Amino acid sequence: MENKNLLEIKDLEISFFTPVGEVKAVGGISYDLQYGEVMGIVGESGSGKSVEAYSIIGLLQEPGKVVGGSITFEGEDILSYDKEQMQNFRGNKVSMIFQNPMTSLNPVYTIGNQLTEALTCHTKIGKSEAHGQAVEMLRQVGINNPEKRMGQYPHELSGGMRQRVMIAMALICRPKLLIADEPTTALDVTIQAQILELMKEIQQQTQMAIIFITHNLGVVAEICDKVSVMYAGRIIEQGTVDQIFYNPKHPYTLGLLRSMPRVDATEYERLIPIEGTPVDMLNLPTGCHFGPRCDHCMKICLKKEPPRVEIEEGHHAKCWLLTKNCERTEKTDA
Amino acid sequence: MPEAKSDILIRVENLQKYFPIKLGFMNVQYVRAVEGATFVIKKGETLGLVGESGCGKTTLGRTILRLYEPTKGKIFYEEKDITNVNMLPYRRKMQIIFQDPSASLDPRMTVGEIVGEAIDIHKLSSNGKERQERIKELLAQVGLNTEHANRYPHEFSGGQQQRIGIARALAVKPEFIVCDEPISALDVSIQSQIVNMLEDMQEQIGLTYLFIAHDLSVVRHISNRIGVMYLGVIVEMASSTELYKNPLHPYTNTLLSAVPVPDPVVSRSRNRIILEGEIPSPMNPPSGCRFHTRCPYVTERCKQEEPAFREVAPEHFVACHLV
Repeated sequence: MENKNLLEIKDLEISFFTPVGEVKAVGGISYDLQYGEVMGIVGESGSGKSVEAYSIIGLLQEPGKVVGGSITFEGEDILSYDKEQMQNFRGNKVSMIFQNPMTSLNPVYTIGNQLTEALTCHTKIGKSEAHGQAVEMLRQVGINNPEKRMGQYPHELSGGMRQRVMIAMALICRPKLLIADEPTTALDVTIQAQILELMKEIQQQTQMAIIFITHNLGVVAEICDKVSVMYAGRIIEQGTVDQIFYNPKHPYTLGLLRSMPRVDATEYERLIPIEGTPVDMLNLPTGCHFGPRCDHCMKICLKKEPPRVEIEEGHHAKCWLLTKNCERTEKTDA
Repeated sequence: MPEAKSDILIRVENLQKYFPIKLGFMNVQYVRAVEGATFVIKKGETLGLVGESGCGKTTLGRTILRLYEPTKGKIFYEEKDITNVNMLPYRRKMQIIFQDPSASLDPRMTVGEIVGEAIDIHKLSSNGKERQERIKELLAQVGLNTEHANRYPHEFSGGQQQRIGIARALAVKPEFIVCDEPISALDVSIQSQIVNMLEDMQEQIGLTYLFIAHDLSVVRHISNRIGVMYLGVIVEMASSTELYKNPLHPYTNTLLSAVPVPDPVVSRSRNRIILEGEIPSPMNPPSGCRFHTRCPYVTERCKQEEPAFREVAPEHFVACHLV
């Protein structure tokens, strides 16, 4: 049984057991990721997009716990890994870039120290060889004068530089999957453009898969092959970039796209916002979690959770409007 | 004469703001946050101010309100020089909405107290009942309920907190509001709610905004005119359509091309200008044109001579030697 999927996630459920009650941060999500594929996960803060990614790399922290489902990487069940196996897996096959490069680099170690650490941990190469590879990696991510940078500390570098160092660190063991958690959110637009360009370039060279977590739909359009849209811990719509941007089926996806002003707009159009406030994860609404904010909300939406409906190959959404016995399907299309 | 000045609300002349930094005994250097800003804001319009972090856009906004004292230059409100006057009467006319709503609301005051404080300071109500009515009215105006007045800021979501911040600014019935990144801390689905609300208020009360943001898409949407700042200097200013259609300064150009567009086909076909390097330190800005270290079209002249901020087309100002 040969499979070409790098990563398979099935019915993954993650809960946080807090003093005030169980928070179901991720409530049953499934997706596959192929080798070399770039998937975007978009959602608002608290939609569970980061938590889900943390579980893949085994960084989920107390009181968070995977309470159901499976994560399979190259046919192996990651959730059954013990600490040592996980350590071997992390950084070697999967690595991660975080949002804030300043807080995720260690301020008391030099760049060189932190870069070579990953190498010496996961491979059996000597110090000088590791140093050589680290310098080469820094050069690849576009850092000038890499020899000098190796001896510098994180505070001596600018924000964009630090994010480049983070990328170099994540890529140094040639992982098959890179998880990028809002890697450009803390950066200015011109620097964001530089980093996106760099990531695209590296992805094309190395053919690694990327999970790109962001709330910026513009960034998704730029870099991703497919997109998962998350709301309140569920993937409410998934498809290729073109399917999601040009044929969105879930009212939330549509709402997101409509509510954003575009820099290339030709004339003034009033924005159409999504009304209401973000969900309270402690008191999730019953039925469809988006129901209370949805323009097309029906009785059933507030009672039963909608099923996952396949729209076309690779494109599916969770919405009652898309089910066969719903008459209003045609209307929403228009 | 009243006609001539009637449409200008705020005029800023050669405004400059330096922040001193003590590096040691007798060794003081300056962060040159804003340098030589000259422009006007017309009544009822929205002037957008964009630029990357550290370019001085927030400092400029706050200096106009004299929350920072200007180092040099003059500020006029309805053609009256307010650079050296007691600001209290003007605080009624000029307000600000801050970026981080949770940090700008006192956690120990109820929403009613926060909104009511401004009414008290400026003695805008004669009795308690009138005050309560006004608070109620303000909360309704920003889409909150009357019972919210007794709650504390932490009980609200980010979007609602920003609404409280807006109600607080509106309490004194201002004419001019500096919106300092009012939506960048909010979730995407909430941002458009706030943008629409700001637009509605402007229409209803005839407010004038200085809208500061780094998100060019939003600035383009809400502004009539836009100023682009780089390293403390306004490099270009024009009406928003003109600026986007016909950007003249190389920096404006790159800034526009760097914004990701939520449209896969467009972003695949777009030709991006990727800038080299990063913003130099405002403590030690480059000589001549401040953008010359990153400009793709740099010439010898740019390195030595600072370009003047001049009008190249009607209402279109730019500071570049090459235009």
